[in-house]
Formats: sequence, C-alpha cells, structure tokens
Amino acid sequence: MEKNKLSDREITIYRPNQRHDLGFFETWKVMAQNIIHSRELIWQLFKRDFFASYKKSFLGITWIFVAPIMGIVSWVFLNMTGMLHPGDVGIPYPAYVLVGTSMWGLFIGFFNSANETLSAGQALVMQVNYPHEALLFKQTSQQVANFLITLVVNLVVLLAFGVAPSWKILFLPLIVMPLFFLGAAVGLITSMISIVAVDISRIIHMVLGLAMYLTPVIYSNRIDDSLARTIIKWNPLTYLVCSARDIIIYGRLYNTAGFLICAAIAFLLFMASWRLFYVSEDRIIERMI
Amino acid sequence: MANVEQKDAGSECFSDTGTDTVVSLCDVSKKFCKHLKRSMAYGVVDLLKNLLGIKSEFTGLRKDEFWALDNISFKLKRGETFGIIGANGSGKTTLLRLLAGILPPDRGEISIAGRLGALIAVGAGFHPHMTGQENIFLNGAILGMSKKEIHQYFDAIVGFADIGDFLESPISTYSSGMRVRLGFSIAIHAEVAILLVDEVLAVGDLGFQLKCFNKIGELRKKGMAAIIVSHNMHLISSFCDRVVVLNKGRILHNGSVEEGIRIYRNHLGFYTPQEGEIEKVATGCENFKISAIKFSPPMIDGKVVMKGSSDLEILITYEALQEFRDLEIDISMRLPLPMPADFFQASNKAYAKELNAPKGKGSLRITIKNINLNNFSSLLYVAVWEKKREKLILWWRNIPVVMPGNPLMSGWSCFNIDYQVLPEVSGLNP
Repeated sequence: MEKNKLSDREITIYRPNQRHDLGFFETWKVMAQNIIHSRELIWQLFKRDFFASYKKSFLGITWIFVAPIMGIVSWVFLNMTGMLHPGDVGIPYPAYVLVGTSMWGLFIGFFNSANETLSAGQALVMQVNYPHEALLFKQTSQQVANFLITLVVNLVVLLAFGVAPSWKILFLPLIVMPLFFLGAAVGLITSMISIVAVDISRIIHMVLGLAMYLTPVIYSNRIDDSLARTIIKWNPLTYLVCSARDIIIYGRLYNTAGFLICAAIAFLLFMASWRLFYVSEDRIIERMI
Repeated sequence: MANVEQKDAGSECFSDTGTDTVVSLCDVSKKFCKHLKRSMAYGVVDLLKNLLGIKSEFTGLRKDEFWALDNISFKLKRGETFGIIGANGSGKTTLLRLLAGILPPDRGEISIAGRLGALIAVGAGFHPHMTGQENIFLNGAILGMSKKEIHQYFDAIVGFADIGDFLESPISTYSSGMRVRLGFSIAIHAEVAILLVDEVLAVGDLGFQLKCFNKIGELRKKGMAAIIVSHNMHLISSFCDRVVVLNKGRILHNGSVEEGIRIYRNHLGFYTPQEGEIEKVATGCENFKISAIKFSPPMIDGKVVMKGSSDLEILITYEALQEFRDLEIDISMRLPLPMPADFFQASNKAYAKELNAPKGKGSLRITIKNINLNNFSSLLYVAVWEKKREKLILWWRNIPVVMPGNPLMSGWSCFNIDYQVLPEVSGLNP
C-alpha cells in the first residue's frame, strides 16, 4: 500500500462485474496478494479480538485453558460412570475421545471462522474499503491459536493416561490443512448466503451438529450397526478428522487412500469457493444495508 | 486494494483527462431494492448465477428496484475541493460509498488516481478496551496505513488529537469528543490524494474544528483533492470550488457554488402552504376553530416574502367555543431540514405577558420585530398552547420565509437578530 502515495498515481478502477472478468487463476493470485498486503491488518484485528476479549476479566488469558480442561473432566466422568460403551479403541477412552473431539472442534472452528468472515466485520464493511478475505485469515488464526492451547492440554492428558504421542505429530500441520480447506469452503459460501438467506446457514449449522455423531470421534469405527458403518465409510469427515487424531495417537493415517482423495476434493472445493466469494461478496454486502 | 487495475491514461471514457484529474466518474449508476425479502431473493439469484459462472447483467430494473444513482458523471482535479449537496435520500452517501470502493457500481466506471481516504465514519473498528495507542495502530491498519507509516506519524497523530495523558488508557474512558478527535486525527494523517468528508466536520469542539479546517487547508495546498458532503451551506460555500447538486440520484447541477446552492434550495421539496388552506397544514383543536391566518407582508406562492430588517405580522382569526385561559404562543424560526437548527425561539411567557381568549370570535396578532435573515429560506413554526402546554390549540410548521434582497447565504443563515413577539388577543384585557 505504501506505493500509492500522493506523488505517484496508481489508478484504481471500479466497474460492474469487474471481479467476474478476472480469470480463475488470476482471482487466486489477487486474493493471495491481498492477504499478503493485509498482514498488518490481520495481525491488528487478531490482537483486538483475541486479547481484548480477556481484558475485562481477572483471570485474563487463563480462561483459554478452562474450556479444554472442562472438556476432559466431562469425558472422564462419562467414562467412569460407565454411561458410554465406546468399544475397544486400544488406548484409554477419555484420551481417545479428547483428541478426536479436539480435531472435530478444529474443523468446526475453521467452518465458523469462514462463516463469520463477513458478519464479523459487518460494522466495518459499510464504512471502510479493505480486502474482506483478510477477515477469513484473521478469524482462522484465532481458531488456530485456540487450538494450539487445546493441543498442549491434550498432550498433557495423553501422557497422564500413559499414552506417548507418536513423533509423527510433527506432520499434524499438514494433516489438518484439508480440514481448513473443507471448513473454509463451506463457511465462505454460508457467510455470503447468511446475508441474503439466514435459513440456509441455519440448516448447515444443524447438519454439522449432527455430523459429529456420524463421524467416529466419540466412538470407535468398529461398531456393529451396518447402516452406521456405511455412513461412516462415505462420510469424508471420517477420513479427515480421524486421520488428524490417529497421527497423534497411533502415528498413522486413518485410511491413506481415503484421506488423500478427500484432501484433494477439499482443496478443489476451497479454491472454487474462494473464487465464488471473491466474485460475489461485493454484490452481497450491498444487501447488508 | 481489492480492485486495483492498471489502466493507461487516454483510454475511451477518460480520453480528455489531463494528468491532473484524480477522480473521474463516467455514467455511473447504482440501484437498490426497496423491498427487503425481494432484495434477499435477488441476492440469492445473483449468487446462484455467479456459482454457475454467469455474469449478473445490471442494465434494467427488476421489480421494486430503483436507481439510487442515475448516470452520474464528473471529474475532480488535483487540489480541487468539491461539494456534494442534496436533500436526504438524494444519493450522497451512496455516491461516497461508490467512490470509496465499498459498493461496486451497476453501470459506468469510476477511476481514482492515488490513495483515497474516507472520513465517512471516524474511528472505524476502535475497540473500547484497548488503549488509545493500540487503537491508533488498529485503526491505521484498517485505513490501509503501513506500520512504518503509523510509526512515522504517531507523534503527529497524538499531538493533533490532543488526548494528553489518556494515550495509555482504554478508549472506553475517553469522552465522545476525544474519541472523535483521535479517529479524525488518524484518518487525516493517512497520506491520501483524495479525501472524502461526510458531515464529520460538524463534530468536536470549536477549537478542534478550527484545527481540522486548517489541516484540510494545508493538505489542499499540497495538492490533495477533497469531496465534501454537507448540509451546511456556509461551509460548502466557503470551502468548495465547485458543487454537484443531487436530486433523486441525478445530477441537477455541476458547476458554480452559488448557483448550486440556489438550485438545491429550490429542490428541497418544502411543502409550501397557501394562505387559506389552514385546515390542511395547521393542527387545531375542536373547541378553537381557526378561520384564517394572514401574514403581513403576505404570502406569495406559499412563501412569506419579506424585505430585510422589517416586521412580520401573523394574524390568526378564530372562534372559541369555550374560554381558553393562559395561552402560550411559541414561535421559532429554523433552518430547513435536514439540518434543523433554531435561529431563535420566543414565547409570550418570556415577556411575562399573560393571554386569555374568551368564548366567541376573536383574533390573535403576533408580531416579530425587525427580522433580517439570509435568502436561503428559513422556516417559521407557530404553536399555540393552553395552560402550561396542557393542550395544543394550533400548530403550523414549515412556513417558508425568504428575503430576496439579502444574500443567499451568510453564516449559519442569519445575521442581526432583533425581534419581539407581541401577541394580542382582541376583545379581552390581559
């Protein structure tokens, strides 16, 4: 941005359907450039929303640890009372379910980040012109920051249960990328739809709430019911979420072929959704007024 | 920026553009939908079309859509200050949003040379629990300033905002004036080639306003172009080199400030009541029948036309079906909407004059002595109350008063106030 000062004359043109006239690859290039240019903005907004929300509390940032710890307590309790019969998972069940739900939470977090891309900046959107895709990355970095803290708590719990995480945990950042792609692909579209039709984003929220039970994160995949097994088999989240869990616990992917296919599809969906977002969002935000 | 695209100087629409042109609009139109559900439906349709890779063509209007801006073209040169005036709903804010790149045009093309700063809402994104210092970096980043730039101007921003010891305190502890000063100060230090100012100069205390005017003057001297939207005609006339008058999304006038203000006044769409149609314009009450209201000097085409420094007399003839005691006559003279401000207000109570109207026919004479207003058109309000405002007997609003011999505008619209309200009720001794 430094370049368009008073002295030089970088010309900006606004005309109808301008973004639509960009080629597919060009769109991604422009958006990537916008993200890079907006590093400072992303960081400032991240600081505002991540830290400032704790400024009025005495415990401050300590609150970040409270949520994952409460999660563990509830699963340990459910397991101890024998309310759950999850089947044999090879390691203590609370540890299994904890890592699994964290990964699920990460996916939902990615979805929510993208879904809030426009609404999180609603007040700003009508006042200032800035690249809105920056908000996606600001929202996502908030999720990642929360997740990293959860992960530390998870690892401590795993060790407490006598499970040593595999060294392949180093691949985790790569393994969770498809979760981001899929979550963001769906989220970016619902972010726009929710401005013009709240109904559809509500439906998607409900479906995602149900989807956790259709993914083997709180139970093992070795269950007896054949319908459940079929659903699990065709559910792409099984491969993406469970691989992220299994790389920590067992040091392997849930299903290598399944993971790679789903990851590729997630990536393509993300690219298509990103393009659609870029082409349509300025048409959609005028409906915010 | 999101929509940056290089364009050679000298292509179609901008062929006559000198190197000095910083803003150029070419047949720009923007439409909106006035029906919420339908607007949402159009949004879904547009989204689905885009999903299938079909461009949404925006040449015509769909049901319930209207042109908020219709074929707007103008150019703005380096160092020039440009005013945009028009009644509420004429498209001023939409035009600013288009210029700022917040909304895309539906037709036509906008070309901006250099960075554009918009003082549409100062302090965008401020977080109340963050300190002034943190908010400077946050707001600066939102306005597109680099970290280096913010560091460079940091002291100047703090100095200009004059927030003193509060720099390290959360913004929530600031007074509203301090917040505005800080927001304005950040925005004005982002080096821009074009500044959009939307009525925000009306905020802050007098000392700060003066600083802002001087700062804008300094930047203009350096070549910054400015677009000012205001309902304050005095500000427009003293700041702007040129004005555009908008009316229902169209340009009525693009040129001299004086002529523009005259056209704006004539299109404000006042309701101009005629003498003799009192029941349409004045709210009365059932036991106080007003039969006529006469002005002296008389109304011409719904306006009270006066000479400067003369008296205005309002004669209200009525029939009271019961006795009304302790009348209060409240008179005010105001600037027209959308920026109402009283020039003066007076009532007989202020002159410790008690008035009673006996049962039967009578008349009420109100004299305002020695009025001297500018010719922009002021509005007279007349209200008659009974007993400590328990009952409103007459309420006549928006009576235009003009003084063709006086200048079109001067100051906030008036000078030399000397008046008296002298109501008399005939047929009864006070």
